[in-house]
Amino acid sequence: MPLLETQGVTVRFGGNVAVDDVSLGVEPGVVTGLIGPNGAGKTTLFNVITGLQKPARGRVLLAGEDITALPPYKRAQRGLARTFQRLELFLSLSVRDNVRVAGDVRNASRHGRVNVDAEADRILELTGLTDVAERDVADIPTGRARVVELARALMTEPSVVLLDEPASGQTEQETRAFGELLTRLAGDGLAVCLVEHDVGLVMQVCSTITVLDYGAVIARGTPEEIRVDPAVIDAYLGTPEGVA
Amino acid sequence: MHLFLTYTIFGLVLGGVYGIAASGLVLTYNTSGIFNFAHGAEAMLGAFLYWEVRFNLHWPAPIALIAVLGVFGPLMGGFLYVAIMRGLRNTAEVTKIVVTVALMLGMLYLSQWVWNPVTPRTEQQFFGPRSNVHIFGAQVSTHELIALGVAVAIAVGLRLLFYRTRVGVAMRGAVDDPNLLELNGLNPQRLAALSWVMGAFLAVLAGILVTPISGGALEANALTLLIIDAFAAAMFGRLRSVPRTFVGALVLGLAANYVLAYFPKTWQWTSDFRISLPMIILFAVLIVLPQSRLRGAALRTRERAHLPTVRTAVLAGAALVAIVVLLRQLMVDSDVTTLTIGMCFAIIALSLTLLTGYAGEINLAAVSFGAIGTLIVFHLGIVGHGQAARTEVWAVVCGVATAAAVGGLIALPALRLRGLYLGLATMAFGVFLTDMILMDVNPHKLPLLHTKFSLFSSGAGIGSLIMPAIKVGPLDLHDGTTFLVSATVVFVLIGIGLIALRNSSYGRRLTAMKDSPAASATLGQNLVKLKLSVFMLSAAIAGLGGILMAQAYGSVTSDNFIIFISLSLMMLTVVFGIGYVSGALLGGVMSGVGFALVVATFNSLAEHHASFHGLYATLAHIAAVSPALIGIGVGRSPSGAVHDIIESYRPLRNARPVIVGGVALEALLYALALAGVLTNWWFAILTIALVLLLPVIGQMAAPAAFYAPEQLAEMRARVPIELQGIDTAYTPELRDALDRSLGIDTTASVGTGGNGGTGGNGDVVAAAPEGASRAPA
Repeated sequence: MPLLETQGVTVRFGGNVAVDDVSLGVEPGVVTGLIGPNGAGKTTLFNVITGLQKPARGRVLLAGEDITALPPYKRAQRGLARTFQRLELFLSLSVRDNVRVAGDVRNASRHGRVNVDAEADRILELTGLTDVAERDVADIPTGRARVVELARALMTEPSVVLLDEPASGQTEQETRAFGELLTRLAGDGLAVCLVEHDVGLVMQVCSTITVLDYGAVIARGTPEEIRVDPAVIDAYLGTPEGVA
Repeated sequence: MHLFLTYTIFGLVLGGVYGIAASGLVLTYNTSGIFNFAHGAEAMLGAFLYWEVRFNLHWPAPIALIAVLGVFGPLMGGFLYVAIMRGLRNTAEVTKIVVTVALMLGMLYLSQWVWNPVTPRTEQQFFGPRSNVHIFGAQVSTHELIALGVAVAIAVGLRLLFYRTRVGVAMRGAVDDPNLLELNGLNPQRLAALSWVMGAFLAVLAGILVTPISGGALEANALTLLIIDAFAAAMFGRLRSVPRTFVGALVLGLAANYVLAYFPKTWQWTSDFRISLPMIILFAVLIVLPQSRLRGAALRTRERAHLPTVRTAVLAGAALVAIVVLLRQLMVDSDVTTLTIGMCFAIIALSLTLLTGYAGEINLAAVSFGAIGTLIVFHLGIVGHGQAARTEVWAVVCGVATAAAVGGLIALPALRLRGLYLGLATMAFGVFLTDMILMDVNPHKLPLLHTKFSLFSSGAGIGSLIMPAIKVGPLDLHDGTTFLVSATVVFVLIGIGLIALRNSSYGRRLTAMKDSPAASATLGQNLVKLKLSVFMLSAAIAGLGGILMAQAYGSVTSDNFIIFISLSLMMLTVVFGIGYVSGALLGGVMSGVGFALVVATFNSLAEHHASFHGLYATLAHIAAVSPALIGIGVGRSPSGAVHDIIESYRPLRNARPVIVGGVALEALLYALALAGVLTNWWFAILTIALVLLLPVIGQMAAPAAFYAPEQLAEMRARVPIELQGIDTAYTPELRDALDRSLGIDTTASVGTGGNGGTGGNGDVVAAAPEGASRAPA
């Protein structure tokens, strides 16, 4: 059974159906990809999962528990974390404090305390941010800022992480390192769901991929299957030659 | 039935006018993103100007209307947008609120300057008071019918504008996505300007219509607040929908009139209740509004604040106490009391540093929580009589706790919503408190205990509370100097506490919530709980400050707690720096005593020097308006004056001699003042000049502290363009560079230069226009 599951989630904005009956499972230990053209409903689906958007229909399950009615903070306390496509960093804090504050929140809300400073050091090291730790987060380039968002999410000790276009703004080198980091995190048992336009990264790290178009699932499968799926090529990837 | 009909018609008329005012508010807010707290003041200015031209200068009504409504209103709106509001992009919500609040206060002062409030003025109804119509037996004046007709026309007109015209549709979307609008070829700035023009027009219209139907007496404060009632109507439409706003306005108008018609006249609080009704309804609406959606919107705003360490804070605090003790030596006893009041205001201002500066939430009625604390202390903790009366400490503790509890109750309904709503809720609370609770001077009997008490009166006179000072063991604040030093110590302790708090994990969570509520929530932060805790803590600080302030005054009336005092405190704290404890100090002292002192000084100068009376009186007026002008300017420097000063002092750390010299000079000034050579005013002026000039002097005396070595070398090497070739050698490279910047074709001029003679000149002249026409491309 998947750790995180959506069942028939539908979101309407006025007359537009932004997400149309989407069911998705995210397993621990692997990276699950979610791709599709702009406006396909990927971010809206993330908003539904994290509680920032109420679905018109459908359910969200985390470890078997129905969390559809829970407010965002309770979902986070149950092990759900995310990053944002439009960066949502705490701009008046340093990189280190951006990561630490996630631990502060955890200490304030749950029983059993975490050593915030030591844990922040460990995660900054793990994500390769130690060199910019003391800088204001507002002053670092977008590519690094995306990593800070991931580090901050990891600080909540999540079981599931949703990543919304983490590679946009990253250099090729940064993206490669980021992919290795994701593989490593998944290897440690984390469930990762990745929304990304960098098809190279998606194909490299994901074990299964779901493709959305106009809010609906048009394909699902391994990277190899998706690469040659006619519907996906038509809607998103273009000709197979263009992918390689 | 007759009574019902009459009051229903009155209610519809009043509701219609509320609707006109409220729709203007909604319009400006939606298109420009700025909630205009000065909307009521615009209406007030319009009404006064209309009175001036119609009833003082006796212009005919149509011409007066054209001048005020058709010319003054739109011009005022357009001017406000161009001069002030346009500069508020990328500022925090609190900055926007402060600017319009400052504008409101400025307009109030301005009206009092032009129209002396002591003189009574009445605005008559259109077609005179005896022009009436009978509808089913109910007598309605022509003015009221006109008001109703205009309201219907405005409602229909706005509906058509928003749904049938391209501009109107765009105006609705302007705030949601200005970039998208721009892509569609519309200019969001122009739309925002238009919304301010229309908003001011609607405000002025409402101001002219409302005065005669609510008695006819023009009174600046009341008129400003009357239109604030329209906020409640706008809330019905969630600050978005114009039709719903009009429905809300009608509900308000009818409710006010039914209370008038059917509540027993003998109840003394009926009229208070009627006045407070819009605020009560505003609250009720807040409670039923659905929760605001969390939207990601972490934008880098222009506000900044440096965070001192606790060690620095302790040192600065000790310095402050020492400075206050030294200043005490220069002051007469009455000045000591004045400074103490200022220090108490500074404590109240600290509640804003915590709430707004650290957590990004808004409280527009800080002083009202002081009133709550004061009430509790007055009823619980005074022992002894006359000169021997003292306040007990446990009563102060109770007062502070009650202020915190009331703060929690007030804030709770608004915490689910965006920051602006909390601001409006606190403002509603503040107005309600002064209109209703602090007006309650009647004796009551507690139901079970049969104890008699009256909420806001003491033996000394109706509506005032005698507040004796605190006594704890040997510490008796009855002595002025002891009180001043104690208030300073309390300020310092709370200030250090706040800085420690901001440096703690709690402080980091507050900052995170302020920067991005959405990200905070997805990390597991319960936002409502965090906001509630910080609001209660801040209300407690405001409560303590208010209790001390009341004791410093000795006796207080409801006038000491009116909403305008809270608003001007908040404004000045932002002006000096809401993110800084020192900003609270300066903002509090200035709003408690500073400007009042300056105004009083000018006024007494005007009295004593008859020949300069006009000049000094004008200066006094300017001084009264100045806080508002400074507040309006906060858009240019949203981090506050303290931030700018700290920034300018930062490099001086590496220029110790300059610091030492500055301190020595200040010590000399102090010695001269103490010896009576300098008057206190000169001492103050020279001190301020020294503080502001020291960084400039430092920059000249020790440039090495301000610039990196490379920068310094570059500056020395740089020769201004007009001296090049004079102070430096005239090289071919320089000539080419000059030619290029003048747009002269270098190759041509070099060629002709070689030939010499007259033909060469012709070539150059011919080449120049060609080059010049290329240059812009």
